[in-house]
Amino acid sequence: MSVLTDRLGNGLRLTVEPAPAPGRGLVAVALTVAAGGAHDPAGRHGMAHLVEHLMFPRGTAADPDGHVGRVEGAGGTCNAETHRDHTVFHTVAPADALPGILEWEARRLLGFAPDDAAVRTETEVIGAEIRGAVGGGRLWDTAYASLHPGSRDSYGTVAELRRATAAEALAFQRAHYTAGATALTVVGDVDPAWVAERAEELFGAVAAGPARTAGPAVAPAPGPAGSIPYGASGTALAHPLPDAAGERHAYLAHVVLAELLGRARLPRAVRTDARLASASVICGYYGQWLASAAPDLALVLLGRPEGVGTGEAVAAWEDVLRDAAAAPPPDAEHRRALNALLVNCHRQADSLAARAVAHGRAALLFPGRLPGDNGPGALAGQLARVTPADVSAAAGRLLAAPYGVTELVNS
Amino acid sequence: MKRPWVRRTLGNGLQVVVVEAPGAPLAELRLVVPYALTEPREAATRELLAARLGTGSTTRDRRAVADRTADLGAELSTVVTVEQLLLSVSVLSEGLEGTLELLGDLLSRPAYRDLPTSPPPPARPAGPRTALRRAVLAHAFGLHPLARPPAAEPAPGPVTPDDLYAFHRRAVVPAGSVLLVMTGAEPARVLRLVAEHLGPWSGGPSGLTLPPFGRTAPAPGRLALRHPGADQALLLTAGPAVPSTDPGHAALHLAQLVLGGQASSRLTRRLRERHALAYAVSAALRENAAGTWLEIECAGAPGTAGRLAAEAADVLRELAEDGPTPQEAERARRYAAGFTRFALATRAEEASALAGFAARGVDVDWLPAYAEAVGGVTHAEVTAACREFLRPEKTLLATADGADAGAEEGRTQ
Repeated sequence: MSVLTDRLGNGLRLTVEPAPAPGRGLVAVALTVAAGGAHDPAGRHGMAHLVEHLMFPRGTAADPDGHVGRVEGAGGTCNAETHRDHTVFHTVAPADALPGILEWEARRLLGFAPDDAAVRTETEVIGAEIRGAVGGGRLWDTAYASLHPGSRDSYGTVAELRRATAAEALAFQRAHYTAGATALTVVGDVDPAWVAERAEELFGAVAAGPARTAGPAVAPAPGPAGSIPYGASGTALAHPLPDAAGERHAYLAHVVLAELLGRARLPRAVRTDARLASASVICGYYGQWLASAAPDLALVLLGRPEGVGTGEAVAAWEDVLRDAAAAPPPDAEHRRALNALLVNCHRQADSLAARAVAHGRAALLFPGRLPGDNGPGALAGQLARVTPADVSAAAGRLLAAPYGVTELVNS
Repeated sequence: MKRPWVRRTLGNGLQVVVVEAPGAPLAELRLVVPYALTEPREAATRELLAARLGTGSTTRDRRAVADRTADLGAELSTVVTVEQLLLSVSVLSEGLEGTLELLGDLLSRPAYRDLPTSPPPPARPAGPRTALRRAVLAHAFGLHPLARPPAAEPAPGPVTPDDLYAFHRRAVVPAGSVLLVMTGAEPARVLRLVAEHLGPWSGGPSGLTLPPFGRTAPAPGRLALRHPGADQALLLTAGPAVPSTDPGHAALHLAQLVLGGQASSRLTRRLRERHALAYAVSAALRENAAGTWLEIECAGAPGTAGRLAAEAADVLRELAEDGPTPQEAERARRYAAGFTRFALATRAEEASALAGFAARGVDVDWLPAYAEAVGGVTHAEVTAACREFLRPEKTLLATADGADAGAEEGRTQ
């Protein structure tokens, strides 16, 4: 069945995909807003993350359930993620709960009114969240900062958030959660015409206004090598990826290249090259490619044998890249890498929540020339169009571009 | 939702369940093999076998297996739990037969090449979470393999190929194992293919199952561990529970949801929303062949262990004495009904869950029937379950903290 894409009168993007096969009586709703960590005001690192938390109003005497209680009482579950360039709120519930889910989404969007007590509590909760995420959360962000000096993670800094007020949170939400910066996506056992009509009624009052940019795009400019405690001695390299919105084909060629190198060529290099103890490469935030339209990375992790310096390990990695750039991979190797990515695509497409989130990102962050161009349904075809020559060109591009270096210090 | 399925036991003892999922672009396979660690001296062999299983056969080396897998469009992974080895495959639908042939080859004719030549290093000191979990299980249920720390002394030598082949012959066997295949292909054909390719696999049963705990109900008390250097305070509890096959389980399940099994639970409202002590706090029902228990788990800032334990005990006491409100019980009931659907929303999740049911000996249709049972639980029954299972004096409350505040040395009752 076809995907409905539309814009409400105020500019809010709407995508509805009736997908009864994976849905089977369920519905997923994603509210995607083009406001993330890159939009944090000066001195308030983490404001986008704080607003994400505050978008889950708690129960009160007058409204004992709160947002989460209402969703769970309808048999559903909900959560949210703050990324560098966007925040996404996602809910999965039985399909008969959809009228309530849409109403509650609109209510928290339009009725956002945190108080200072909630701001204080959620700031400390964010502190606990950061403590729990320290281990894994730092590698990616540190590598990112090696290529984009001065960039900060999307979690926030508790010391700065402790100075934030409810009025500031409200101002941020009003400035950024505008209709032009918002996409509503509904996937599952749904009637698109009904959803379109109801969305206009419920979300038509969202203030019109465009998405705000987080400042001009800055070209990668690696700083001096930094370091981070890690489980083993090694080196992390941050290579810039092509723009996932404007250069989708080249971006996906890098994804195929990373899969191809990781499957056979890097393991072979580790076996045969004394300069490497281990080697891996992933594209996107911890391997989630197309999770953001912000400048993205290919993250390379090189384990160094004792006595091997960073320069030697990096030279070994560049040898692997040079080999890939010198000639297109054989068809069989290329097909195997594509197969692995296609299996992942199909698995992702089977998840209603992942599908709803992917539609929201496509509508807001990766708009194509035609509706659905860059949605989850198009991804398998886009990957299949990546040729061996494209993969080889991607390797050449990585070799030519500047990259960031982070030392991994065995802790 | 119920799917059509068939179940057969092959001549070699392998139980095969084929679930029909029309139109699926992928087939999902799950092989569940009993794999409990019953002898500590076998730990290194067990670990290495799990890491190497599926990487080679007498006719295929690691590269050939990887190439064949990729040609089929398959993704193969192995996970080891405290009692099982789970081999999972997602494969493009047209690669199902090739995958069964490959599986048969890897299981019947394994080859373990290029093994480490040095003995495995002695186990690293347990981190705070692992140390706390072992301490909880030892205190709550007594001596048991699950509570035993790994041997501290170095292994006498490397694991040899003979060790691995012997353990493979003993542990990786069809009798006692379950293979679930979820696919759009016709079930009779799938059964024929499974019998053709996995029929020659032989051996078992291994008897590698967890022994039951020495006690069915956990010993209550208060356990406070110091773990210098821990960057978080940890809370872990063990309270009484009944297994999922018990008629009282559905009411206990709703009591657990009200306590901490959902984001609007009492524990979340108290520890996160009121006091900002933790980002996430959960209550879960744990169940395996050793026993069943109710567990609360959360992490807070260093120095808050005592506070976490006190607040959790108070929430338990409140619910045990007063029960949930009718609205809370209704919310939990509706959430549980929804959960039985969205937790299995993808075919991969569904295949793993159904394989787990089959391996536990319960019906593949257990979940829809359970959802109906949950729907019939009354507020009075949830209140009674709270009174019976959530009493703090029946619960072991254990904490680990790196800071002095809130953590006492040693153990107290």
